[in-house]
Amino acid sequence: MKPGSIAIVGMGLTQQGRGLGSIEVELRRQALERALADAGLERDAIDGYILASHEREDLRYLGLSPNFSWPVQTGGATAPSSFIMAAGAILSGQAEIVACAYGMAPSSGGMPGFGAKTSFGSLAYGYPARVGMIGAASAHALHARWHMDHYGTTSRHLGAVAVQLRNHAVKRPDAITFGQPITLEEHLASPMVVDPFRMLDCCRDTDGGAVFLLTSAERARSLPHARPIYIRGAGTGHNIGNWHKRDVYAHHDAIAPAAARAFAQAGVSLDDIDTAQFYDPFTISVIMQLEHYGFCKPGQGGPFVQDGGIGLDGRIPANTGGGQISGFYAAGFTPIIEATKQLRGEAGATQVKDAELALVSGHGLNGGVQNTWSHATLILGAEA
Amino acid sequence: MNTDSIAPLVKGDPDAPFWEAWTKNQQFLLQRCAICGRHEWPATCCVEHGLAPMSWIETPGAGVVDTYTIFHRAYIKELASEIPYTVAVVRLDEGPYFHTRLVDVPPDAVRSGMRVRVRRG
Repeated sequence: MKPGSIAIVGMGLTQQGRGLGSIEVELRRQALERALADAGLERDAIDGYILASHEREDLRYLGLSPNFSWPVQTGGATAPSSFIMAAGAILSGQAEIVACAYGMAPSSGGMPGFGAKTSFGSLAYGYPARVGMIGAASAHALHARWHMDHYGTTSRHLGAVAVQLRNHAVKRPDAITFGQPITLEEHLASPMVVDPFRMLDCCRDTDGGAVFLLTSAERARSLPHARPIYIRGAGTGHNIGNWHKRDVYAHHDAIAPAAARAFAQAGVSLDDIDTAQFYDPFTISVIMQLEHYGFCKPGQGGPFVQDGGIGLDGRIPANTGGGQISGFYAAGFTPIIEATKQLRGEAGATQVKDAELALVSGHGLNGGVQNTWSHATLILGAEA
Repeated sequence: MNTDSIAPLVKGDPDAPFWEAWTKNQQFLLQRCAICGRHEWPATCCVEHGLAPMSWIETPGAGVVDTYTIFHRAYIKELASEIPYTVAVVRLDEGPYFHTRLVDVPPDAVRSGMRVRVRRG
């Protein structure tokens, strides 16, 4: 993809929070209206629709008449992957304005008939469930324990991530932990859930909707009210190759191919990135991604965060909205939302000065055995 | 531990021969590629020889703990009486990873790199 050829011209968000009480499609409807208003577009301009996850009746409920409706599900990499699919649709002439939509209500328990059922099935990864391995925390705990035993990463390092993310979130009214600081001691005293993760190492489910509108950079220029940002590079990687090589747990997932492609497309280096927004369901995710993207040496992610490396004045301000752990969990949209706010200069008290290039990651996917298979990278720019 | 009570096998599960051999005879089977002899678990095709026959063969069931996690919370009620329990990923001597419960070792004594073998009887 040519850098800057695709623009993000609209972002619509609902409140992101616990137990909002809205059904999922209604969250998407509200987010869609806000995205259209944000872009200065009418709903009949949308000629492509990509939904994170699957739902049969969205188009009818939302009153849309696009040329296509594509479901996409690749776990926490779904959001950036939906942007890559939207770019493909636009560049292949299938659509001019593509809506990438998300809306989930896990903390409201979902609604029958709206595809919101969360079951043991979605949190089990095949045969490991038979010996009691259930849930995303345990799958990530295997990476965390590997990292601790190989590099000497400690609970205090994990805690440093939790505290830093919270330090960001306390300044952000859009975070669920706004105004609620934590200390390292509180982290270390929080109950062990799935060793080595304590409660404060884990994100919580939140409800919320998010819709992004993507178009060509050329079309973006004809939208007088839009404040576009641009996809400068994109890449994907799948950890199954490391499974075949029997080297899974050293990798958070397959970041190397995703990062290589995204940076090559963008024609930039790590030093050009102003802020990073990582997919961070658990504290280890920040540490390992800092290493695998190359912001620090292998094994040094913990000390890097401890030394203020992802703070606003650090080497790479990261997860500046509090991430998924302290901000809100909109799956792979959490990092994209924060990157968009940063590049628009709308990140409030944790705005990174002159943020022009943002690194975004998505990660996850229950592909059997683990849920750390799929990775996607976006490099987003304030300018094309 | 009754694995079927936690997550029963689906009819036609390609891993069924493994669980049957274990349940009936306490044999620890792995799949092996007829061409290169690479061992696999769970059931799969050989990554080098996709169409080669894969046969189930008996192995000692021993290896090294690659990584592990200790559950302090029961995600389903059937596991409530078992916490804390350890789930380890063992790197079997034949190569494949194998997820297993670790028994006969207290959770706080588990270490990566520890040699383990399947407990029979």
